[in-house]
Amino acid sequence: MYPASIQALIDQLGRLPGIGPKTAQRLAFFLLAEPPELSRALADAVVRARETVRYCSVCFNFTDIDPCQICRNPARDPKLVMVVEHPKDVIAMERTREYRGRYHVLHGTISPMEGIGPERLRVNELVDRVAREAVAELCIATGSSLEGEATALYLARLFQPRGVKVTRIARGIPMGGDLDYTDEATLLKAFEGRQEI
Amino acid sequence: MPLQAVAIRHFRNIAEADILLAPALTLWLGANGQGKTNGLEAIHVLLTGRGIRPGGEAEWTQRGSAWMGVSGRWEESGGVAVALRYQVAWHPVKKRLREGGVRPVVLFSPDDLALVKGSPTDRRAFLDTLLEGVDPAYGRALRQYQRGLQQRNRAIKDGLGRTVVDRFGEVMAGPAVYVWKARAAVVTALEPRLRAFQANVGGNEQVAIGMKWGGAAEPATDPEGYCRLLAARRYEEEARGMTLVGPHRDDLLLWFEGQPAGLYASQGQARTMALGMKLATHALMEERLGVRPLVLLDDVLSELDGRRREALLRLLAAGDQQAVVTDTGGEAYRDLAPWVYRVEGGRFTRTR
Repeated sequence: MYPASIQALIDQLGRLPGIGPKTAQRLAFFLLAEPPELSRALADAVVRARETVRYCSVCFNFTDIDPCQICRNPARDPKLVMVVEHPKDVIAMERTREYRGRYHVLHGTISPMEGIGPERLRVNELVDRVAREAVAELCIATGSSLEGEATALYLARLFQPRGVKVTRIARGIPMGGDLDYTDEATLLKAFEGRQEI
Repeated sequence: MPLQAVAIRHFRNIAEADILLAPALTLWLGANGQGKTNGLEAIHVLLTGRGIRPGGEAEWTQRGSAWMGVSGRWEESGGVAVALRYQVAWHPVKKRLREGGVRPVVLFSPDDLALVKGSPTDRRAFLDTLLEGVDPAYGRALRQYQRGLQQRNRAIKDGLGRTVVDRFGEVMAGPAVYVWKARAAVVTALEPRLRAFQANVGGNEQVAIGMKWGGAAEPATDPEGYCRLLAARRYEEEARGMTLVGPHRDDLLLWFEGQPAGLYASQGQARTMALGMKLATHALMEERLGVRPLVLLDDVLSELDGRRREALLRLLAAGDQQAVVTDTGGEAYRDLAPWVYRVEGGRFTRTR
């Protein structure tokens, strides 16, 4: 019902996460209504990003120079490494502007049902890195999903015998949150992680 | 008296019915296919938003009608009456109107005989439905456990090794212990109520209930204990490719005269026991929720002998719970119910 080239554009946009058929259609017509420079710039940015971005050979975050900006920054403490699931977790943590250690991106969690075992994550690379860079502390910041927890326990068992201090980020009540709106599981974790003031 | 009046419009075969309910027992009598179960379903929809048979809003709407509705007055335990409503209009576009939240119901239908005669899955479902209704944390623990179980089973089957399998065991352990503790407590709470019902309505036969814990003589009381139980069966698990210890293999045991009720109780005895289990949940729900559930008993009298029927109706008529009971029988025991309706062709007529 659309000319073939429009339909192809809608189909491609519809493959992006969070984009349904309606949104894909809206985006396509937006691009067609705007001057061609916009489409050219967008296409250019997509292709260039895809061609220049690769994994950092140290932390496996996305980067366009290798090693990445964080791994090559001498001000960042190489002895402290935070292990996260995804590149977007690095961005989230960087927003704090307080964390001065480095990262290691696993690109997922252990999930046998999806066929993802430790060998499919960047775990072997982390083992090599810990030995090579004499890492003193690994802070496991995988999510609080069941798979995130299992992955955290897996890494703890793997690295504790190697004399590395393994820590887990605390879980609890969000800033500004009310106790009575917090579910029992979170409250219990918050209580277990209580600290003397 | 929680539900005082209910008005049903265009619900399945009921075109229009305005029904007053007695404080304790209301009896609906009528031949098969006249609308008794439809009436119970309408009340169930009003109180919970869910039906009691397959089918949804499209099936609930009377054929040829552009809308359906159920409304009623519910008296809270403090004495305040609130209006409940569940209404669906289909034209020009579908529109649902719902007033009032969910109210607790104890429903007994002929299918509930599976509690005694059915599989362990049926009995675990009985415990899970009851516990999820009174404790949201139970539902969360159960879902966590089941997800962990799927992951762990796959890890065993795919030979991912102990370093992975054991970690999923560890993350399941907390939820497993929570589920076990909750099930143990609920069975302990139900048993005396079941015995009391049996003494009232059943006979002199002794009944008892207990748990058969999945792959364990005793349930673990802490996560470390659960992990030890898993470790003890490691080689067997690897050989069979699945998790052998945990709530997913529990069974609720029902004993009749010291024998498994599913094998030894007669049809009528089994029905009495299943009914006793359901009614035992009533007091438990009231205790935990602070709201007295409405009791709906669909076609429960048919397989009971005269003495049991009479005892059950007397118990309900004198009880402090509100109940609606349907039966195909004639007027034989109408004297036992304060309020009786005759149900015919979707019409409800009060005869007493």
